[in-house]
Amino acid sequence: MTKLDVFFEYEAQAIKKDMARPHEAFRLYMTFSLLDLNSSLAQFRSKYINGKFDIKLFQNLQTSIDEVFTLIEPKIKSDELNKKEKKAFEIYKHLKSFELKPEQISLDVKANVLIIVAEALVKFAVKHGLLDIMQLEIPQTLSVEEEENGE
Amino acid sequence: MANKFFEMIGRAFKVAMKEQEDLVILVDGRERTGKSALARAIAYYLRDSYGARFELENNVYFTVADVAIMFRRLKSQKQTPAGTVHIIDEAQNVLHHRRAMSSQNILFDEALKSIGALKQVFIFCTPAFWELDVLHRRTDILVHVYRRGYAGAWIPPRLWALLKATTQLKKSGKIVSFSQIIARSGIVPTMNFKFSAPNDEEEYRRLKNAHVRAFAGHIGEKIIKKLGIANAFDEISEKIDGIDLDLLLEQVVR
Repeated sequence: MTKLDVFFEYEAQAIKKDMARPHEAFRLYMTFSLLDLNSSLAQFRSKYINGKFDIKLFQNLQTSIDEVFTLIEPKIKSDELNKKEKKAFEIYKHLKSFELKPEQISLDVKANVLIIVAEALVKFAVKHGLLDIMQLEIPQTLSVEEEENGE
Repeated sequence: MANKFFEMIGRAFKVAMKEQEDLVILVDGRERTGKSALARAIAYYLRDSYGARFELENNVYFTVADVAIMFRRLKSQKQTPAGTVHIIDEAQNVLHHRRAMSSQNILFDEALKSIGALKQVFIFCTPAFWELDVLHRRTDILVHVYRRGYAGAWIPPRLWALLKATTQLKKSGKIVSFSQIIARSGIVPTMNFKFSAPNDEEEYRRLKNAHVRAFAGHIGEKIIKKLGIANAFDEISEKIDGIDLDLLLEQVVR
């Protein structure tokens, strides 16, 4: 027996559990994108509120929002956003469609808009259980063992 | 601790050692998701349940210098007995693809080629596994840490499909995130699992800071000596809170 035989054994178990649900593929995409957004937001925001503007983290956040916004924004009902969030969404849409040129808006304002939009997207995702990767029934994937690890 | 992931790692370790092979694990994840914590959890698990060797002080490598020493020690069976777990933290700083043509990288490439039959466990931590092409062919398990305590694992043959898809994606454009690879390739993990961070965070941080500072200081002195700009290093030394040596060099040279 080699280490590959060990891996093939676990792979076979995973494939046996193949639930083959095509509709889950979209949810998988959404969850991974949201996980990305969640960590980009946390990283940028923690530095930003301490007065450090990290351009690399800012760009990461922009990329992550861009992906999630396209996926989720059409699904958000207007009563799920507060006044501040609605305004931030509007500005963001204008920026996205280039109706508002990036140079017309200061980096600080842009950062605030991005943070509000990202927070609203994450809040929506949490509310609808989209961020919980462990609950996600991924095709061809072994389920999570609960309560192991002394947790 | 015995969830399916750890059970699999333990079995693979046992077989690999018996068959005179190495076990190579690539741990991917964004900053602060707990990649190093997972790497250490694996190391402690293999040590405590399967008799692997691992000491936080000696087997975690933070800088190019640390990794060079590791490879030197690997030549001696006495200094690195079979079944030793090695954690290469921030592996991208040591093995980054952009330095592919540098003499340093050629040396590391050569050293990495020796990985395979040393009866060792290598755990590489990185925020972007797709940039560490040099390791792909040697990787047995790819783990992506979603957030603290939660991760997914890809193992062969699924892992090979993922690495192949990653290479193709790279050819068609720049990869910006892990989710992009998964979403585009549709290759989901073999298993998801939970893990607990080991209780050594403080000691690990202290060790990391000491290594990085010592190394940055050493490199800084050499640059200053070469360029004759004595004040530059003092000016930027306060800013050195990470281990991005590219950035450090850039600032000193500027």
